[in-house]
Amino acid sequence: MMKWICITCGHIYDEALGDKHEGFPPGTPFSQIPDDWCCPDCGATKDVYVPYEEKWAGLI
Amino acid sequence: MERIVILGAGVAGVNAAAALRGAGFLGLISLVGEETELPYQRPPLSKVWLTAPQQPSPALIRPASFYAEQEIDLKRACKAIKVDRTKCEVQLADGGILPYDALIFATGARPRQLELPGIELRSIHYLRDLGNAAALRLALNDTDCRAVTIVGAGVIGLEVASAVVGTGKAVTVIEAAARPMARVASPATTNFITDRLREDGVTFLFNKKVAAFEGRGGHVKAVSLADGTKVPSDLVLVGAGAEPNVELAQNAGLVCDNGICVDRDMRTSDPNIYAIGDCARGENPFARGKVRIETIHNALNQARIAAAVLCNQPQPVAAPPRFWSDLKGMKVQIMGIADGYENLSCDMSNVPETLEVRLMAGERLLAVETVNLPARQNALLAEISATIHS
Repeated sequence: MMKWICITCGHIYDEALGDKHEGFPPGTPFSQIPDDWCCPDCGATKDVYVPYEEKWAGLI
Repeated sequence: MERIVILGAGVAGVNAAAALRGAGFLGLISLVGEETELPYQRPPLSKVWLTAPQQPSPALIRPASFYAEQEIDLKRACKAIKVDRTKCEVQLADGGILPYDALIFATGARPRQLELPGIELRSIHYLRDLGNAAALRLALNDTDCRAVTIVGAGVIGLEVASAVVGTGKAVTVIEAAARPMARVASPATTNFITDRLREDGVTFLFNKKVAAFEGRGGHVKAVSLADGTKVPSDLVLVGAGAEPNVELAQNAGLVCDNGICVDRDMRTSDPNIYAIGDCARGENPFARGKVRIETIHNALNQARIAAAVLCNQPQPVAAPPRFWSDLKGMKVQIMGIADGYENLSCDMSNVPETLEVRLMAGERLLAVETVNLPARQNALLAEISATIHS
């Protein structure tokens, strides 16, 4: 499962979580989201998203 | 070559003069600056300088004795009004003439002015030079100044917001784009910064356009947004980017396009004339296409390149663009250029609070953005230096 980030506004789509408001159940891969879908925060098109990886250290 | 004239006594101009002497140039150097002060550092002006209890003395780029010691003819409060490329001379506003064998434009940039109703109201500030900073500082110290609104979430806007928040004033940042510093940093880093500054009390209004400034008694009282919202404001800082000072070059017939166009030797379309720093636009070995970079590092770097070329010496080793900012205890450092990346990977820690974002295009590392990781910079420099665009 990957995460994707909108380079226009920084919205993160996490495939593991999906997006309830957008109607994508947990586990929905980004590739299965329709091409005409837009960023829920800023309205940018799907193609401005880039893969995003986050590693945490310290106390979480 | 006997006479070199440098127009602009900011960090690019002063360092060009110093680098020329360092490279062994023995001829005349005239350094022409419009300001009355000795050449000073601008970065502190948008940081703690604004809220220090006493107005700090400006930090000088070089000690006062430097100019005489190095036999640099520093002309302060001196304005160049025309460059005559046929006669190879610069005309000054006071009637003086400076002949040159080589001329360097280091004329910098100025804040982009907003043309909106009410922009003439008092208490609307821009921030670039010492005079602007002193006026802003005084206005911020006024006890009646309770609500500060910053138009533009660029570096200047965020630095001023960081300096002012926590001093008992409401701080609102209005930005037309969907996030701050969108031109210079990736969303991973700006998400991090926005979250921290929000925790510190800054209110961000993104995707909002300013329509007008409203006043009472000649003073600004509110910022009206295009959607009808009014943001109460006792003071407004406009940080809407900068425009290069190219008019003198343009009037002299030099090719300009969002800056004075230069080649990799910092040479303009006239082989005797160079341009460096904020006013120059050209190729950079770490960028795609032509760029105009408004950073201290770039000004220094280009000053050294121009001096090396003028003294027939090899150019310094290409160094990736670097930039830093201090935002409310966050040391933000960016190396490389955040353009054309295809994926982002972040290493985050909350104790201590750090962030490292790597911007990749395929296997190639384009840029790295860090927060609170100054000790990482040398290692990152070596990594990014390996990615020079051919």
